[in-house]
Amino acid sequence: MTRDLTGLRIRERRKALGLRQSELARICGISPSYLNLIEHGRRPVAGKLLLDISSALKVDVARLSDETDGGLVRRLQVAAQGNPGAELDRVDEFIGRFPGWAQLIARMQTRIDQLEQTIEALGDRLSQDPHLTETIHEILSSVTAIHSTASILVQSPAMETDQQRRFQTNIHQESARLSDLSRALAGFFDRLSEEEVGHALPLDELDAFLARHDYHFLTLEAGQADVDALIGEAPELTSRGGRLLAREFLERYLADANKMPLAAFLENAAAVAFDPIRLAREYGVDFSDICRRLAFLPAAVGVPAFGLILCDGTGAILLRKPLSGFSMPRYSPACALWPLYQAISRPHLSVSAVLETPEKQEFLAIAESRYIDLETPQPAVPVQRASMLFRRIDSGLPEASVALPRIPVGPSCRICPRSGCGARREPSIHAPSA
Amino acid sequence: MVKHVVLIEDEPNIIEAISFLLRQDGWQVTTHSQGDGALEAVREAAPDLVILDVMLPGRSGFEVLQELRQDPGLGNLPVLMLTAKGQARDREAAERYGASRYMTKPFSNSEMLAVVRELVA
Repeated sequence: MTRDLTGLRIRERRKALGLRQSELARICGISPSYLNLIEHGRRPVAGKLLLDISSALKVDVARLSDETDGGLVRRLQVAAQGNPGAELDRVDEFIGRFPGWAQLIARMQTRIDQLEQTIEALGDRLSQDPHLTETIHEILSSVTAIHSTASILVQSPAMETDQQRRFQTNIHQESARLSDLSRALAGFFDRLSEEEVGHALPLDELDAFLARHDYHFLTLEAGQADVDALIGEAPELTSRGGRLLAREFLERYLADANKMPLAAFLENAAAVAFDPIRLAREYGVDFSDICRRLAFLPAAVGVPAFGLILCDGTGAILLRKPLSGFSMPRYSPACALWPLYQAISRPHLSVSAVLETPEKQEFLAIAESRYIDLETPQPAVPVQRASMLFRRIDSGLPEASVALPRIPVGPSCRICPRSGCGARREPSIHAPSA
Repeated sequence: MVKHVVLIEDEPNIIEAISFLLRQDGWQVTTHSQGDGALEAVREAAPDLVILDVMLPGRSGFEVLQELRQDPGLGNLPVLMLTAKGQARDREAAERYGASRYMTKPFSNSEMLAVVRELVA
């Protein structure tokens, strides 16, 4: 059975401060019995009340609620994997007592994940880069020719002059080739160290860039900034790959903004309760265009916060906008129950569902996948692009969603607490001990 | 009797050095510089030994080796594989396809001579 970790964390933090339940309840304007229910995970807590509680407990709200991308608890659980000494059963107590240390461990774990990815990418590059393999092969061939020829010259003093001349010419040729090759090899490693070493993957850079801009670019829409300037001044975009992804993103963003100007879009969207399918029909654009426009709206009163994930037919993530409370694993495969993957198996049909997280939070999700037109390769291979847009269901289900299937989703299997899930790929670290 | 070797290698300066070396050692040397037609060249020469480079234009040394081993007349011919990659993968492939010996570039001349003498002894 899963627990509401937010409640437990409130309880731990309160006890760490030496506050009585009744005192905290009074400060927040709720009854002690209601606070007791919250602390024991029997009532959800979010919004203004959570803010009040966090300010009364003098702690950042993110440290109480389960934040995006696995949340603090999950990231600590991952960090504790393979370290039997870590008291996994007391993780909430740890976060409550030492929130700063807990954040530090989580950040270090994220960094370790990133660095492992970088090492893997570099390893692949070194063992599989065709240019590098070819260069080394040529160097070895050239060295072989020089070594063999030079040995012959030294060890065969009675050689004809013509033959001797030919061998000298061969050595000369090969040494010129070798010097070109070694320069190419040095250049390869220079580029490798400039481009890749020490930096996260291009998609991580894009994530950081978008997060810093809160996933919208009002100055770009208003014509007060241009794509080049935004990319040029972004400290996160350190690799060529990262800049390329950011350019693609911003150009697409601008095209979406031009097709669906902001002020009118907000009005139209509000009129249909931000329903992406109806909006796509009204604007005559693809579902994925609407998803991007909705996900990248500026935060405003009355505008729901959307999370978004775009992937291709292999499930590889192309773009993501996280949403608080919904776990989107960064490096490990996601939950197989996401409607995103059903959409891939049924292209051009939208799939809607209510997703329930292990922490009992509910999200309304809608996904669709389409075949896209490719210019290359020819003849064309059918390739899909799938989008899943989701939003938190705060207060009761919207009427239209009551009949939707409810799907108990989770984070990546490794850290998913659910038992008896047929879609499980690997055992959870939460597995009950034998 | 003069021993006959077919050298299948695409680097001209290596061909020249190895040919010179082997001729000095008393061998008759026939050369072929690509994967295509290698099998026919071997069949025609009917040599005592084949020296076969892995990286060849047209068709890889491994493919040539496989064909050689499947040929009833050439199946038992000693074959020395040469490669410019020391990777275990290449060595395993050479063993699997039935190379008699395997040598990585760069090698020393004395090493090369010792191996070819041993293979036809």
